[in-house]
Amino acid sequence: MMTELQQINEELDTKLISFFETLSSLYQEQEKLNDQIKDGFWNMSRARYNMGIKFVGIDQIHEDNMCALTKVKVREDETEMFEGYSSLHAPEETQPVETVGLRKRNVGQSQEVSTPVGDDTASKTKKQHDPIRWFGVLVPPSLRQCQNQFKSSVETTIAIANLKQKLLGLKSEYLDLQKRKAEVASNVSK
Amino acid sequence: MMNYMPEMTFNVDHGYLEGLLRGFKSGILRQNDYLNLVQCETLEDLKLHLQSTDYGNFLANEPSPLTVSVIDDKLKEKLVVEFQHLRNQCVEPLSTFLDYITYSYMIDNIILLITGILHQRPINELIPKCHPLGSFEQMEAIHIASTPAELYNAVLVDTPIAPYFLDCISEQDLDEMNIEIIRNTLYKAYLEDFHSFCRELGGATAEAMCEALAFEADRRAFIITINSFGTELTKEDRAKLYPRCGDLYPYGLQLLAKADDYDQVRQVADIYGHYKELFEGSGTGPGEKTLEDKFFEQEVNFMKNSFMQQFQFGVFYAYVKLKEQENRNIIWIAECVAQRHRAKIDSYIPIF
Repeated sequence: MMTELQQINEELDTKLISFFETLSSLYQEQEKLNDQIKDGFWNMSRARYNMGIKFVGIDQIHEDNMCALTKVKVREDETEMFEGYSSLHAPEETQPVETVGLRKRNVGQSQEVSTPVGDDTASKTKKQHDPIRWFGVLVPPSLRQCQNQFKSSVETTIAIANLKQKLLGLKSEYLDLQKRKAEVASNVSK
Repeated sequence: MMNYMPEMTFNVDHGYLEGLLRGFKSGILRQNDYLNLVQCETLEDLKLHLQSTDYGNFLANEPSPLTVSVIDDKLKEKLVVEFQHLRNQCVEPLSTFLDYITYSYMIDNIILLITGILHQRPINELIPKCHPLGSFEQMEAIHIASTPAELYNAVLVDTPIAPYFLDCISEQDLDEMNIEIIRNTLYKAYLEDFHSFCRELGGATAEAMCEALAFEADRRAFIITINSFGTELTKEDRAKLYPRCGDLYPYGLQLLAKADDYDQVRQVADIYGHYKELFEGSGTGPGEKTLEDKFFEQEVNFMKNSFMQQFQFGVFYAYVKLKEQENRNIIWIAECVAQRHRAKIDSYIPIF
């Protein structure tokens, strides 16, 4: 029969191991994000090579029409705290969900910067179309690849946020366990 | 007898300009220059290496830090100065020929302006980004146009490209789809017109130019088809965008109009020996060249061959196209250097 101390020690060990496992997956995801963003910008340069430099740039961006294509739900009491969902298809139905969730601002990616949707656009039918159409209808495959890479970088970012949250949780659990161990050890010695 | 030997009288009107142009041509960057550029670590290094080429100190007055877009603007400026000198000195029919070359830049500028206005960019930011070779007086008036009909009546009707627009006039609002259709329809009409002009000129000009323009037409047909997969462009609309002055007309174009995926396009290309080779070597793997690269390469070959013949206007067109490719190469290398992503820095296309 295991003493309480031994039990606590075993739990500490498992927590530590899962901490390091989460840490190594975090590093992997960060490297993945790095590669995705780097390749995304590279493909954008390739698209400029094919289409002409002035045709893939700030002049094609329609700032008034920009709204987030991916939003993030924050759930305080679940294991996966952040979950991304696509807001592409149901502009009216997202209203009730928005009161629950938080809109996450992605300032790093140029194609999906979220801005609060203004009152004037709410009255028009919110035709949320693919932002790649800002550059024309017949775009080269490199521009499409660029878009795919930035889209997957959003998912990777959400995964990184979840992993970091998990790490924080594991760290605080580990510290709690250590305190309990100290208490138990001092009780035993009495 | 003079009609049978146009070479005898060519130099009377055009000899100085052809000579000047061949001098410009010798300033085009060579493989050694590219090898130096590829080894640069920063854009300042690139500027230093370009000083020893024909470009000289063109970036001397630019404030640091240098950006790729500034380098692009200055590279273009050099070509514009050379071209405008040629245009100012020439007489007919070379002057019309050089004007034809500028029409493609005009079309690009119109599309840049309309797209910018559709996306609520201020007109005074857009005008400086237009290509100087394609500027025309009515450019600033473009912001009043919200339908193709207004665009024609207010802006284009007095420009040289007005006849190319007749198929596009409609009362629908301008959106991305019809801007794309306008762009390709204008270019198709321009290419076919240029092709028939060169054919009328006859002689060595027709030999050099008609081959190059036919290739351009076919290349556009292939690229439009491939890029249209997965978009809402219908096959009928797509078929109307194919220029008809290439080798693919009429049977190849009919087959391309029906293609649904890349393999079917490839089957059409296999019917024509020279296009079969282009499709065969291409792919998106690590060591392979993309199809668009192979098309650029083939264009460079045609343009170099054009210089093999003397006493014809094709060299002027070839020089402009080769300088465009050189600009693309330098900007590609600059972007790879600036982003520190040197994976495919060597995928520029060496010219000489």
